[in-house]
Amino acid sequence: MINPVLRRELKTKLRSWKAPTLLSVYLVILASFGGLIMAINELDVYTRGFDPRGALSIYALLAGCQLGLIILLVPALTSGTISGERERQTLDLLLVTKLSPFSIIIGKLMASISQIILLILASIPIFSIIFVFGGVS
Amino acid sequence: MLEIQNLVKKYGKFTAVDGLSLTINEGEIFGFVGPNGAGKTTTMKIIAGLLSPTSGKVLINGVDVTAHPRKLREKIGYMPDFFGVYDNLKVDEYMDFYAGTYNIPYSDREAIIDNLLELVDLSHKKDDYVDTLSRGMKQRLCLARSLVHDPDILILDEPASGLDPRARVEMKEVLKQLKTIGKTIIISSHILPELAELCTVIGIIDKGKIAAYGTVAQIMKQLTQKRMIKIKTMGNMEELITVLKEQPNIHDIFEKMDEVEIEFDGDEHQLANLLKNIIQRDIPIISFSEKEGNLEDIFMQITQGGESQND
Ligand SMILES: Nc1ncnc2c1ncn2[C@@H]1O[C@H](COP(=O)(O)OP(=O)(O)OP(=O)(O)O)[C@@H](O)[C@H]1O
Ligand SMILES: [Mg+2]
Repeated sequence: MINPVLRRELKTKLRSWKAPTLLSVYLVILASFGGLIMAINELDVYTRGFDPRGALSIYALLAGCQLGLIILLVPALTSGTISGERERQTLDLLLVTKLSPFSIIIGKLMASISQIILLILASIPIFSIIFVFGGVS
Repeated sequence: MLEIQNLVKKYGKFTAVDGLSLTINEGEIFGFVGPNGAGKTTTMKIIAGLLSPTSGKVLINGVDVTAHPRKLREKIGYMPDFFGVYDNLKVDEYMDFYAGTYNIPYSDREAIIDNLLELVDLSHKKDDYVDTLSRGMKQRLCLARSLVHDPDILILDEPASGLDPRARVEMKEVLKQLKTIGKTIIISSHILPELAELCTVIGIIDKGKIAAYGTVAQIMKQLTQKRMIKIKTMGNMEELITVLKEQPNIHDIFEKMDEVEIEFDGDEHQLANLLKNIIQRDIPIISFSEKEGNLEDIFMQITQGGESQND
């Protein structure tokens, strides 16, 4: 049986307006970083020709950006989850059930991790643009 | 059987529950009545395993709640006085979530949920989002939620607050139904008359102590000693009064518009004898009933200042 907290969190999170907003904002930021990096590296195939060695450093920079964004997002996504139950006055209802405090926390944590995995998966197309140029394998 | 032994709960120096002892038998509906801040919620939270007492014990079938809280969770259904619901969750999913927290297998859930929603009359709201329900509906949903694992003991903290009169009656009906299937129910309220007809036993709590305990009739008797009897006659009231004046155990006689009220301080047998005596004197009695003493007054009497409760 899946952790019921995880099941509920995923269901309600994906239904709320917050999930698509977060996803869009995240992708816009990452894509603009990508564009910026490419512009700085003057990756202009028409005037200078294409240097595949440059692509590797662009990839590394973009991956670094993603890491930075995720490091910023993880605390934002995980910190409020238990206190949120308290504020919403649902914590007592959860604590009287047979769920152990451990599985409540695991459920919450896995829900936040899934959300981050979703962001990473959604950013694959941005990375694949670099692969189009070649030079990274 | 639920036993509360000498329960004490202190918040810092303040004593919220002060040496409370109670025994609640299986199948009983126990009404917990008291003014604001009397310690009802605190006691109920301790029974539900949410708070640990400063001292004292709560035993369920002889097992200590504070020592083995996990073991007893499946026996207890708890409905708090204030609670919230999740956003973006439908009524049946809400129930399904709590069914999951009690490890109920997926295959059993649909039947259980349908039954419970039927019981609290929310079947038609099954596909609505819980945060869009009205307060009374949320309250009923929370009651259904507390029953999802079929507990033996139900702890309901002011389940009727915020309900309209009709919903209160319906809530009472639901509780009566639960009583018939043998659940033990502990229910709190500020309003004594509200619990009077529902509960088998009532405990009035004030400042963390039990101020009165027993059936409604016992509590009334304990406090008033004298009972008020209303008598109506088709015939002459003067005649009735002269007969009454000859009878024993009558403390006082009041002549009202179309009836006579007497203050009676005898027991049930003496009361039966009184009626027999009047009828033997050929007075055409059309109504002879005990006046449901004013429970509100009694409640005020017990919970104010506290001089009146010391015998
Ligand atoms: N967490 C807390 N910290 C300090 N004092 C508390 C706490 N919780 C409750 N109290 C105090 O304990 C007393 C009993 O509170 P409780 O909530 O049990 O009363 P109650 O009988 O449920 O009242 P009401 O009818 O208003 O719901 C109150 O005086 C309250 O101020
Ligand atoms: Mg309370």
